[in-house]
Amino acid sequence: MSAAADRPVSADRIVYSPITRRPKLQWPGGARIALWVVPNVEHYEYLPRPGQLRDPWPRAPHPDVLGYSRADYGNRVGFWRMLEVIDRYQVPCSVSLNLAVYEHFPEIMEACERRNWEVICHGFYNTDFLFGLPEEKEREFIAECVATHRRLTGRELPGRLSQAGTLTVNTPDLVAEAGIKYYCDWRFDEQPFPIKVKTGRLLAMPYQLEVNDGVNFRFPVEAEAYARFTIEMFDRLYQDSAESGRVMHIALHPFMIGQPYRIRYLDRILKHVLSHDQVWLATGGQIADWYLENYLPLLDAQMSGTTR
Amino acid sequence: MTERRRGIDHEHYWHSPKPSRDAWRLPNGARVAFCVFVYF
Repeated sequence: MSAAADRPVSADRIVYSPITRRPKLQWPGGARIALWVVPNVEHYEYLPRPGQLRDPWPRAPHPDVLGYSRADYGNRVGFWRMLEVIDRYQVPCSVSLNLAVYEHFPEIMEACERRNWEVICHGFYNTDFLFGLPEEKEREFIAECVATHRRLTGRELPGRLSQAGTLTVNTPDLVAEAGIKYYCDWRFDEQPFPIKVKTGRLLAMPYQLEVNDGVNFRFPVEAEAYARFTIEMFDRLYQDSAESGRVMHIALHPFMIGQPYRIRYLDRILKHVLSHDQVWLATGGQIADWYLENYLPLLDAQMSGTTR
Repeated sequence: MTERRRGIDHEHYWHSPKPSRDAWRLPNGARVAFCVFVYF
């Protein structure tokens, strides 16, 4: 064995497991695909905390009114246009939420709560980063997220996606320690998969960035092409899910997909996906619960000879 | 962090989600104001 083979894989958090060699994954009722729709409802601050390791508004000295107001449009207009399409197809959503949105904009909280949307904690602001945070400070930050969500909704926080993709080497351990069920920063698979943390295991969900309006529309990608990518992703996952179940994740950002010239393509995507049978419309918590109860024991049994 | 006040985090305009506003009526029953900017 070479020296390289002795090195830890993926920071020693993830057991290597080729997807083609796992037990067959079937979702409830024999469904092949779990459709997991995640609107990212965010607030970008007018004057973010200065001196962060990454400048939230690098284009200009603060305030960057052009950037700020473009994002703010999402909460005033784009969110409501996006909602019309989601309502048309009755899709249950898991909202990746900057928690401050529920406090600044109670109209948005009321709309999400009325639809029983589940919250994935996306920090407080999308311009307040975790980079470089010492472990104890990050522990306090996550505890405050859990407490704020509980105060606002009366529920326990089920999921965590680090705001603006800002995290530390300690984040998975601290998310698990806080009792959060699933985690979305490690996106290495098309199925949920457990990652190792200090307190045991934490379920990583296949939140994807390949077909993600928040990524695609930061480049010159036309909405029609974005819809085509998304539909082609679904078609291939649906084909592969005949062998073993998959998660089809769709991330949405109201200030992007909610633009008048883009919104019809969300309708096109949902119409296509929902024209198929064996599609399970689920929240992240429902997917995680089903996986942990029904599938993880099968995976564990198969991997029982593997070092974990 | 403490509770955040309702509305936006600056003083220049107020949060006003579109569904909460009264319908905006343009002259002569027009639905859209079409405005062309030319940059020199």
